Amino acid sequence: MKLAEILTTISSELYAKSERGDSTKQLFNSKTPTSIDAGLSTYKNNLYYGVADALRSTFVVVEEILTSQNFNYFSRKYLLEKHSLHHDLAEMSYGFPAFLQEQKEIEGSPWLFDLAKFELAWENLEFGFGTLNHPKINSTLSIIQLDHQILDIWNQRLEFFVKRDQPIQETHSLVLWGHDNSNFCEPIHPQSAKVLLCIANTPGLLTFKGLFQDDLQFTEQEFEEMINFMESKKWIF
Amino acid sequence: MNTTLNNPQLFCGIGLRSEHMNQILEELPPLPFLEILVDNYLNFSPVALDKLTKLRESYALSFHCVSMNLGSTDPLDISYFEKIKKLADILQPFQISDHVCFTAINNTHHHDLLPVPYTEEALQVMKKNIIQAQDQLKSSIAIENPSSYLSFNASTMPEWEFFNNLPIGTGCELLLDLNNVYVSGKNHGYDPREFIDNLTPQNIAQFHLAGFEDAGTHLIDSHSRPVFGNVWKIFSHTVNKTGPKSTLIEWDNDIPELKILFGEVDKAEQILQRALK
Repeated sequence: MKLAEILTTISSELYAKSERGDSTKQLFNSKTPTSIDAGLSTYKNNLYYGVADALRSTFVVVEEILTSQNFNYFSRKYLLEKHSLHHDLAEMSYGFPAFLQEQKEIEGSPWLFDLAKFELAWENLEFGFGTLNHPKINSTLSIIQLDHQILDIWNQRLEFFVKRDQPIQETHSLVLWGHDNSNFCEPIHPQSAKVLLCIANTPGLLTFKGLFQDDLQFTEQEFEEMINFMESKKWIF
Repeated sequence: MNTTLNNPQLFCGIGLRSEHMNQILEELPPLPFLEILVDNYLNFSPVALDKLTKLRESYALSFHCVSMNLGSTDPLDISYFEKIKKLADILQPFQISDHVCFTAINNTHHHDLLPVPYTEEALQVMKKNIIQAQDQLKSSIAIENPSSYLSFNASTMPEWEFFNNLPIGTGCELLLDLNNVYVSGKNHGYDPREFIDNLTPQNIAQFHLAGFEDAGTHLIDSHSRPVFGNVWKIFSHTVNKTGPKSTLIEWDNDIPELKILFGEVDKAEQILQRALK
């Protein structure tokens, strides 16, 4: 058997939803102290738990709410359906919120998708807009749009559900940023979000006329106040 | 600090883990070098990069990789090597290493060091990939023997022969992990000393030491324990045969306080110093 075929057989076994049987086992030497089943299950566990651990390091509160057992179930299902297609294990995190949104078992909790989306943004906070060369905007800044108020769940974790059954459904935006080795987030008015996005996408310009024509419903004075507010928050410098 | 910094090859360092990074930055303990797990830093996080750059002012660094995928028939992922090269240009490591294994096939990744059969075809594939990796990195690399839990009917040579053959025609160096030799030896029923005694000493650039877990049916390379007593004996046997080399203590799970790692470093240093005399 050629090398490519051997490696493909091992890969297929590790990603199989159930044991594939003798065709794989025939590849391996059965006359060693370690059984083929024990060897295969060690490699399978390394793959499953490696991915689950990488996901749980990002989706901390999602795991707490789902419980570890259910989180492991969804992370294993996610891995076996989507496969890992990048050498960087952290890349698996990016598709996980959308995967959770598709799951029938949790369709009664659509806010879990928002919570996962928020935790992903929080984890990646130090990258933000990635405008490291931009002199005006905090390079860690990012903005996400959500359909449910999940900040209380994130702050209170399971205690939230003692006080209230479900988060409020409301489309809104959150801004996330880092400053002095601490990370922050808070809701942001849609117009402020639009101004921040314009600043991020327009290097070197920080004047009202430079940034906008007539698509925003506020005055130049209000714009100045908004800029002062953003500076006080360390969103821009 | 400066004397050891200039000569990382002769002393024992530790694998840098994020849990210890701030303490090491604050206290700058006297270590000859730190090994960084490169895959954790290829996103070029500004915060992490800033810390690594500060550490580099006080320590020599070695790069340890897990995704070069050198044993695979897939083409090498050039973007991965470009990132390593970019980080190496910043941090100037004295060594870059990866393993005898495959991690991806048909563009599906497994995030583990999966075993390859020890055949002539696998050897040629691995050598071709090592040469291409070295071209990409503009540097020779060191290749480590992995722990393994399965062996192949297709293998036509012992692991040590495959491993020992890698530098021929590639110019790579060998990174000999003595815990891995012990774990694989127990799992596959061979004598670790036979593995050691058949290696060419000049090709060995560095030793790795770590702890394993006993799963009952087999040993697992968990890096979650102190170095096992019999592994120290094999280390001593090896150092007496090859002479002292740069050595590294790895600890990746259930990570203890730094002083526990320093205790392991002291044990390794004593064995290395004895061999020097």
